[in-house]
Amino acid sequence: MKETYCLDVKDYSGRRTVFTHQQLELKAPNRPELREDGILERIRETIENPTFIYLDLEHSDRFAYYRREYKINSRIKYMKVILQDRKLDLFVITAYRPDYVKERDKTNLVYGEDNE
Amino acid sequence: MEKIMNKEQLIEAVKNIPIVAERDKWAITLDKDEGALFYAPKVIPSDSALHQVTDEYALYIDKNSHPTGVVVEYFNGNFLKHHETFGDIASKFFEQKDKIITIPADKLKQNKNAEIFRALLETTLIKEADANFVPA
Repeated sequence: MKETYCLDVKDYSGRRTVFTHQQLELKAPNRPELREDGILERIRETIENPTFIYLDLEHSDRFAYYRREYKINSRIKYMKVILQDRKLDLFVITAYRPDYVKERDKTNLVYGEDNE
Repeated sequence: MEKIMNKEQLIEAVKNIPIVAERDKWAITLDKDEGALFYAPKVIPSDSALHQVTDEYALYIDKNSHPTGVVVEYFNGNFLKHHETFGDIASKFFEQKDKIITIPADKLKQNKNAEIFRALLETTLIKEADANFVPA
């Protein structure tokens, strides 16, 4: 089946990055952030201009792109986008807005600075 | 606007998980594609925001401070390694090959392994919320 995209952009390094409609529909029930107005714009900003990127804890071909958004009650809110390297492009697995960096001190920081 | 939650409020929300889960018919979903385990209703309500409780799991909370879903990131690659008691039961429970396995609320009551898994999960979430709470 041909992929159709809700996002087709270049990441910070110029690599093509896609988010398919099928993947968005698959993830939206358990990720309410994906049903928010303006979420695709926030995902695009994170892909194009991440604050930092960690290697995924489980998969060596996946990356966690983080973009710092704001601080609330001493906790920092991030937009987080999980990307899979498909060689020809990067594929958005899912995206959500945590107040915690799960990969910190557990895996390699591959881009940017995580100073919080 | 997102609800501001302090430690005590978050721990209270975690303690309410069993009651809310029963009332709102939460299912257990293992999303192998994402590597996450969800304990939540079929659709997590749109006004929910994610709050990390321990290094192992986060909670979706609505505007009234009620829990609307649990997310365990890196379930196979991280959580199970730190919780050996889940090992056997999880392998029986999630034996299907599908990318996303959902056990709906009614099936959770009919299947012995599922019932054990849910009870173990709820107990673990509550026990660890206070002991391993992540500071801001």
